[in-house]
Amino acid sequence: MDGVAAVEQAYQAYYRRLVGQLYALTGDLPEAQDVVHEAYARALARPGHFLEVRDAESWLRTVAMNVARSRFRRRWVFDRLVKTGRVERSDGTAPELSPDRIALVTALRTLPRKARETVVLHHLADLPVEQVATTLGVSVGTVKSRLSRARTALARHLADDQGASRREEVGHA
Amino acid sequence: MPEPDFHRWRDDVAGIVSQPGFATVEQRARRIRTRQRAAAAAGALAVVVLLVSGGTAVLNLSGGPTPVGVGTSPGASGRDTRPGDPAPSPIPPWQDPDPAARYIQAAGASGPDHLYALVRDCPDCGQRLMASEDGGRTWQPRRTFAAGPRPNGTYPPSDMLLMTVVGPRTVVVRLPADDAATPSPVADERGAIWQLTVDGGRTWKNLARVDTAVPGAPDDGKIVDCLIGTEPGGACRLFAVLPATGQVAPLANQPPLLEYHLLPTWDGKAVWVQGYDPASHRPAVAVSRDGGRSWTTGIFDTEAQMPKIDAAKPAQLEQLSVVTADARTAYAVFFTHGTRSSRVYRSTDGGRTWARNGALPPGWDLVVQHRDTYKALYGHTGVSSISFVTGDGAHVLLGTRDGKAGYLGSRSGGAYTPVKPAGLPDPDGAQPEVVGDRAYLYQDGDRLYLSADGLRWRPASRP
Repeated sequence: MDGVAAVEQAYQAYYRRLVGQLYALTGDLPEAQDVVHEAYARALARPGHFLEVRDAESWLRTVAMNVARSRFRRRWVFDRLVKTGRVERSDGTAPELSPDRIALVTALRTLPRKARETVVLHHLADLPVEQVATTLGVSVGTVKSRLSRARTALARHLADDQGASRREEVGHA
Repeated sequence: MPEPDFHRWRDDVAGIVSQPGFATVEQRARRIRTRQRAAAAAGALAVVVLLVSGGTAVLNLSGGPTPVGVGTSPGASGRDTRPGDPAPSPIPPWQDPDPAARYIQAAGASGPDHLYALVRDCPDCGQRLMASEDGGRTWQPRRTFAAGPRPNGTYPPSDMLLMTVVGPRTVVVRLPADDAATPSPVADERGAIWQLTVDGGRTWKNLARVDTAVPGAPDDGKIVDCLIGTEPGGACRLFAVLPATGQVAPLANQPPLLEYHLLPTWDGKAVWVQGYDPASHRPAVAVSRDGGRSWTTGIFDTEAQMPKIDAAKPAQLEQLSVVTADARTAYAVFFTHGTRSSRVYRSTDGGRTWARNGALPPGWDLVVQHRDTYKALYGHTGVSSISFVTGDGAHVLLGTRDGKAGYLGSRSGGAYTPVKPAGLPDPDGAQPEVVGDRAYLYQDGDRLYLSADGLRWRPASRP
């Protein structure tokens, strides 16, 4: 199989799953679709390299997460650009998802980024704790504690969301 | 408490995701290859230039320099690698400084010489406070505000760290109470503390809030608004920063308006607020020329009344943006969401009376800041047009036509025409600020620009 065929095969096999993982990470479905699409395009830009990859899905997810990270740093300017008319802003939600599915995305966005990554890699990408630790460059113990705190925070957030009204934060200049 | 069903969520998302054809990936890959070739060519040229001039260049041995952020090999961080380098981690450390990710979180100044910038070297890095005493030619580091999590694992809100420049060497910052660099002081209801420097950022002390009202801002102080503390129910009050005592105290004679907020002005004696007239509920501007001791009010009688006040939450000012440079000539820009219509008023008597200004050219629309960005910058929701007053009293505002942003200028109350302030980068929605008498500041990414009149700009060196 040549590199181009390998990328295409991976595209059919992993695209939707990767979009789900990046959606959980970014909280923005169109953004997730775009960064995953970019990851595949980068693989296809150097198909010879892609043939040497041992774990294609992991490689693509890593590149997509890197792309998402590099875009975040420009979001400070993005919010301004959108109002110059150069960029169209989407609200990032998936209208086809049920409210409780959207609630999970909303809940994930309340987590610190590192905790969110940990949750995505372990619960959505199904990586074992040891592999999550290697991927993120932290100890297994750190992964476990992040997962534990994140699960508690998510469950609490989702329970709050179902019941009581949220106290609105009033900001004044 | 039941845990989230991640797998079912994942399956649901996979079920609704639409997948573009592979041809779109091929198309995008072609563009990436084109960019890489162009970058390689530019890098080769740069090497030639550097070698001729005696400099050195770092090249990826497989080709030209690789732009940061472009994944080049499995597990790569997007940075150039060379044989012998340790294998890069799959995801770069989140707090690894990245020159391409560096940006200025906030900047302020007092006059043309004393500048301050909060610089972040990567999305999760702490913020460095940098100070310049020579108009941005050189910068010195003053302190770093940590970016780490709280003991309970959560992170403080991204907008918690704020900076207000009060005078040439006086700066107030609001920061999370558990910032590692600070001793444990009393925090406000949001978990934030306030600190003050009067020596340009070299030393800091906690700012204490006192309840005894003061008549006005002292000569070395400034009026700040209610981000420093709200009344029960969220009503806003103005406060005076008292650098000599390290205190902030409420203003005794608050502006005679409803739902007001402070407008940025550089002169501590000139205090401008916008809000609503209590009698007519029409938009209004209140101005003090004595540091908040007394007020005069100008009312926009023909503009819409404020929305009905909801006792549970304050009404939001959504339409009015007022700017001034010398506290005498000012412009008030009204923007109506639904119709996207705009009206501009001009005052030449310090906000006492207002007259309609010229109109925008046909086909032009106002650029308004998105409300979330506005909230992060100014702490309250709403929309704001982007404009400033030049040294000679003209009004420059940011408009858009056919999706392209550009500046429009109006002089002496006349109609607006396209203008291009020299040396100012292409607009990206930032607001130029008047920071002193004949001193303007503009922030763009990781650069600051300075001007003496708002029309001719020069870049400061990178902080």
